[in-house]
Amino acid sequence: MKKYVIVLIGLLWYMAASLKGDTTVRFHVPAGWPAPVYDFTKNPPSAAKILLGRALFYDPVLSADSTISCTSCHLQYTAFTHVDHTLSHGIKGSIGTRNAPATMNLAWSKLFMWDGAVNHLDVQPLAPIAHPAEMGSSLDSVIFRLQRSTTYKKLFISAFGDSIVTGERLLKSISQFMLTLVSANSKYDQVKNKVPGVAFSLVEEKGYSLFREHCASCHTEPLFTTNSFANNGLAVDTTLNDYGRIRITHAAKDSLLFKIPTLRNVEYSYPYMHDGRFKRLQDVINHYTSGIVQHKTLSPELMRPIVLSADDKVDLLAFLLTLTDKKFLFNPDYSFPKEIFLNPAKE
Amino acid sequence: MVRVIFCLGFVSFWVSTIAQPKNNLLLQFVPVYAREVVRLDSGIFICPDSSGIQIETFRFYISRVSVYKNEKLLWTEPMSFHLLDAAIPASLKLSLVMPAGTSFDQISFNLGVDSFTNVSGALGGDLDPSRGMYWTWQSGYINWKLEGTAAAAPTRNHEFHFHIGGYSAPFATLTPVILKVDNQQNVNVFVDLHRFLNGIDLKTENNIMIPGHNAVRLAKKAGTIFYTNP
Ligand code: HEC
Ligand code: HEC
Repeated sequence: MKKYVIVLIGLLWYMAASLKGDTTVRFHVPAGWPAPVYDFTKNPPSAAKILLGRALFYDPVLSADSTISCTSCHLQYTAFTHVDHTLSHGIKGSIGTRNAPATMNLAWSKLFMWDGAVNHLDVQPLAPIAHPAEMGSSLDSVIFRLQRSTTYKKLFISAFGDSIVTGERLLKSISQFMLTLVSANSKYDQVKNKVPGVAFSLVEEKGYSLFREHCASCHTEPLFTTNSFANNGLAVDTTLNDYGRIRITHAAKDSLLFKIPTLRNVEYSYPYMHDGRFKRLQDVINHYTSGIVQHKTLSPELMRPIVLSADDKVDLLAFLLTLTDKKFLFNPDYSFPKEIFLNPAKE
Repeated sequence: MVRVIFCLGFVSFWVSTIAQPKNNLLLQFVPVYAREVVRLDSGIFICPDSSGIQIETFRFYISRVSVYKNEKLLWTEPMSFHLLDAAIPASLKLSLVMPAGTSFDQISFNLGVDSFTNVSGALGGDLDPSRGMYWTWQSGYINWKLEGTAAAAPTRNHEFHFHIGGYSAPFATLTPVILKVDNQQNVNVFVDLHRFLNGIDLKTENNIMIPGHNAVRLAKKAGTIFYTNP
């Protein structure tokens, strides 16, 4: 028995030594938030894996002609969405059919994409990598390119103990980086957490109660989304004919339902809606008061018109701006990993 | 070096105390078109009849391989997921290790990947999404991929594509297959693509690449073309 224990300790020591240099990271759930949906036991976070995922997120090696990276469409300073155009732009100037959503707090999301086509964060990158109007590549050709890179050889060794590149490792590492993108330090959060010296102004306070009355059933605190799907009364754009969730479920009740987006950092995530049709938050608010299109699947909350005075609109807007989290938008841990791409000898 | 000796010591200790005699079953899948074996490892397969069909790709998942005696479940392979590919002969041969003395008269497996696994994120081995059997625009495994050309198909280059999958109701395509067996060591499982293609009018149905009613119907059909005795 004693021999067995000694041998077991030896084995554990050997295993620990071969993973030396990597540190596990605990995922922090902000106070008062629900439990995450993402199952961290299947993909335990570590510093080296997060760094590898961050490198992949910023590296155009993922696209067919090495021109487009995830960050081409998901830019940190604009809450990980793109800004200049309504529909996303991919390789060779091709234009997609949807607006990139602001990307944060992904550990709490069960389904991804505007229509919920993707059922798990890990498999989300497969869509842009393969989409001909986005990165136009495929997972096995990305693996082939990474296997020949000395930079990634090092990153894979420190993350996994050896340099073998597999689809599973690559996808789980990108997930680990994306899971770190937690925004929970806006003025709104500081007020909720009773940070000394921080309080809503009168205008913001009034906006908050209007928000709770008219918007919170779908944009529910603290994530500012229920993460489910709804028809919020947008007219169909007949050049796109995008009917949302029905494409996945084939069920009539899901026609024109889209994923409810978070409103955190909404000040920076313009243009708005799945097709980027609104440039300004004022346009969005006007949509809810006077633009709702009646349709069989329109959410019941929006069937009766929302009435807001000009002052109310100013108040509501002021509240929405309290959801801006500057620490998140400028967090150096989320930015381009210079230390990997600029310093060491590349290939 | 010391570490290596520790490890070896541990492994031999483990082998001598825990390992027990096992029963081995070699399950050999044989894709056929009527009587002809379909091999794709050195090129396409030209169907030996007047159908004008050529097969280029044939791959499918099987999972949850189990054995029974008198309808009673005796053993299920742990972590049982296999990607079989007519272009990779080794992938068609499954070596199953079960407790010694397991005597059975029936085997079963599921054609495809179950719904729980379909929502479990990135997985490795045969389930790695880089194996070409995972949809990209919508999550989910392709359970069955059959591609080729047919004179009858009025498509570009006469191509046909059957990517059959879909894991959630009402379009779930996981299909159970149950087969009688009379040998405990070597079992050949034939998969007759003639029976599959024979029931399809390739003039009108030649491109199924999304989950839906058609995929469900074709998955059921695929479940009926496996047999053990020629
Ligand atoms: C060409 C622009 C483009 C590129 C490149 C791109 N995305 Fe996206 N991303 C989008 C668009 C557009 C959507 C919404 C698509 C839809 O709903 O159909 C999206 C959606 C997402 C979502 C879902 C967010 C949610 O809450 O539903 C995540 C996560 C994401 N992208 C991550 C990535 C990662 C990781 C990469 C790099 C592997 C990447 N994206 C590359 C444009 C892009
Ligand atoms: C019935 C549910 C529902 C209610 C109530 C609702 N919304 Fe929305 N909201 C949605 C959905 C769904 C979308 C995405 C629609 C799309 O793109 O097709 C959305 C999108 C938005 C966006 C765009 C976010 C982005 O990043 O593109 C903003 C801003 C917004 N809503 C603000 C509000 C405000 C302010 C209110 C209250 C006046 C409100 N919403 C009430 C469901 C709702």
